[in-house]
Amino acid sequence: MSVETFKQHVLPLKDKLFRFALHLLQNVQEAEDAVQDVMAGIWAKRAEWPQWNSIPAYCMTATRNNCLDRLRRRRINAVRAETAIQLKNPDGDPYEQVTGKEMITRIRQCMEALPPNQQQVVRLREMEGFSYNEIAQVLDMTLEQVKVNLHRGRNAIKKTITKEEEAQWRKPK
Amino acid sequence: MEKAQVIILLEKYWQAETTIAEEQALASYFREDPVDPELEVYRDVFFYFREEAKVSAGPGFGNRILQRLGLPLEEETPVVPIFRQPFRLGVVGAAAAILLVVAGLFLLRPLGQPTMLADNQPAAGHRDTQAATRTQPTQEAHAVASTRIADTYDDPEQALAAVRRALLVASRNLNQGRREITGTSK
Repeated sequence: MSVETFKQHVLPLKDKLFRFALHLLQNVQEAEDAVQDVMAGIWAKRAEWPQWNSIPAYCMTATRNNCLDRLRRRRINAVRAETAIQLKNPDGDPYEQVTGKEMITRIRQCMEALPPNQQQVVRLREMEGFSYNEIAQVLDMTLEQVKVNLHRGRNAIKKTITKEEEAQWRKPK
Repeated sequence: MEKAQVIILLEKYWQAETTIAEEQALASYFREDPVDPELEVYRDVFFYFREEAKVSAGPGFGNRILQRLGLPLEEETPVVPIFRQPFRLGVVGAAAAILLVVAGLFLLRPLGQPTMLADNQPAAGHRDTQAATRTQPTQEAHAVASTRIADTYDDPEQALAAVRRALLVASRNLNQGRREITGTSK
């Protein structure tokens, strides 16, 4: 029974957890290791599953904690983007290849320039579809803080694209 | 979704007041064509998030986790060999059956043909035909003669030539059939 529950409710979260771990660790192998550690921990606590409010939120919290531990051990805050760019863009940016636009790069740069809290809130909401409550649980914030961070993060992106749009209009033809 | 409705939702979205369902509706609007030119500028934002959400550790990750936990692995999506697929098997089976029938017809016909010709134009050296001309055989005798394919020719050279002709025709038909099967398997 536990195996089936694990396969149905926990294992499908692996990609969400991986993306978040990758965002924090910026290293593919380490992100995968982190998710495996988390999955092992979740499995070891299978007796507690019925008491958890939200399995996805619990798993994401565990992933975040695992990644933060790893970051502390490595003491890296400076090593960034390189691996992620390799992962997402082995031959340059696929989005740009598809759209031929610079806008996608601008949006990504804007995302990466956001303060960590805003970045994480935006990621959990936009890419993982977490509810405000779940995000609050994962990031140990109040609902209000979640909304404020999301509002600021989204508006920073909005400014980026509208600025870019204005610049396009002002370009001499 | 109407443009006015999209604008209202977008306003809520920037204020972080949208529900997940409303955000999905927005994402869906910007995924489809056409997007109102005035709103086109926002399309990339949703595109970016959608593409970012596709990043994964790749195939086999689930099984690597299960393996580490010592749990039964999940079945990978099997790659079905072309000839194991029911539809292909049916097509190939039908083609093979047709080929066998056609090949059988062509193999037998050249040997039986002289017997049938015997009614109109006797073939030289053909024993049954000669016998038929001599004795004016009945329909029954014709039928019996046409089914007898052994000892049809007195002259071994003629028999060999007839067999060669028959094999050539059969070979040509088999090759044609094979080409058709190759076509269906692509």
